[in-house]
Amino acid sequence: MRRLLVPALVLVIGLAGCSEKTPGTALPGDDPTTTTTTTEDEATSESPSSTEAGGGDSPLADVAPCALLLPDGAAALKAGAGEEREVGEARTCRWRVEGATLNDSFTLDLALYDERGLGDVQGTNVQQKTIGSHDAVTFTDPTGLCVVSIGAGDSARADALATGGDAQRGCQLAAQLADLVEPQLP
Amino acid sequence: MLDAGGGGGMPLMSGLLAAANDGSFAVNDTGGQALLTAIREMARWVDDNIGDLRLLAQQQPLGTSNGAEVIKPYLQEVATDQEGFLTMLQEFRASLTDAEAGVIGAMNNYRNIDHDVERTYRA
Repeated sequence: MRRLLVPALVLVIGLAGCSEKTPGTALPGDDPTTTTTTTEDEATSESPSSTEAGGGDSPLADVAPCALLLPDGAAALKAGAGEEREVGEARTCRWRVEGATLNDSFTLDLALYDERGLGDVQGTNVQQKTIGSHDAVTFTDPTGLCVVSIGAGDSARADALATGGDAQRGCQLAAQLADLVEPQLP
Repeated sequence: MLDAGGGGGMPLMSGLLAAANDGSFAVNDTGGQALLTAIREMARWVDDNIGDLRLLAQQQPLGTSNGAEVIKPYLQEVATDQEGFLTMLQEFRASLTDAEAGVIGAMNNYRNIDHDVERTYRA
């Protein structure tokens, strides 16, 4: 009986450990101290802002994505009003470009990642380049479409994407959006 | 309406385009514009959803544990394989482009028919 009791106790204690949940986002390769800070911030705030969500040290933490495209730039892209939103880890501004046909119509996104640098891009065909005074990369994302990513410090970046019509035209639009917002980036 | 079986895209939309091209489908301006507006709204919805998937594809929610590394490629495959949500959205987007071209062609057909009838009565 005692022989069975000891392993059973070990199992119960082990499973009790598994049932504990730690709020927050699992981030690969992060410094454990950073994760702890993030968890505390989220626990004490009912509606965490991007800064409180762990982007406090990010040069983009105080940047509103829609403010990066100036009215002249939006007019050049023939983009409608921008809509700010959060998708996953990205704070994004989304514009719609309605062309003459659906092949010329796109959804444009400028996505700010407070804790993802140029080295964290998920995709293939990654090519280094410079846009204005910033390091940047272009790459093909997992959906097969191109993205232009501008670095802001070592661990933050802004991605420009165009989704919709002709893929080649979409790449041009993404590059155009990146060129237009780069001067406003820290 | 959709070929949910994944058997080669959205045949109805390409059929609509073919019908417009051979003149067997015609629609007046009012009906055509209503269809074009609906097609545009649907395309925007599709683009927004593909855009969201693209943004989500940039995060690594599973971390870098051995288990996560094993699971990651499968999750990506679910979204991007032949019958995945992304693939279906992309096929649907292409079919909407066909549908738009078909409706524009059908509106032109209607105008041509109208013009021919008018000419016949005048003669």
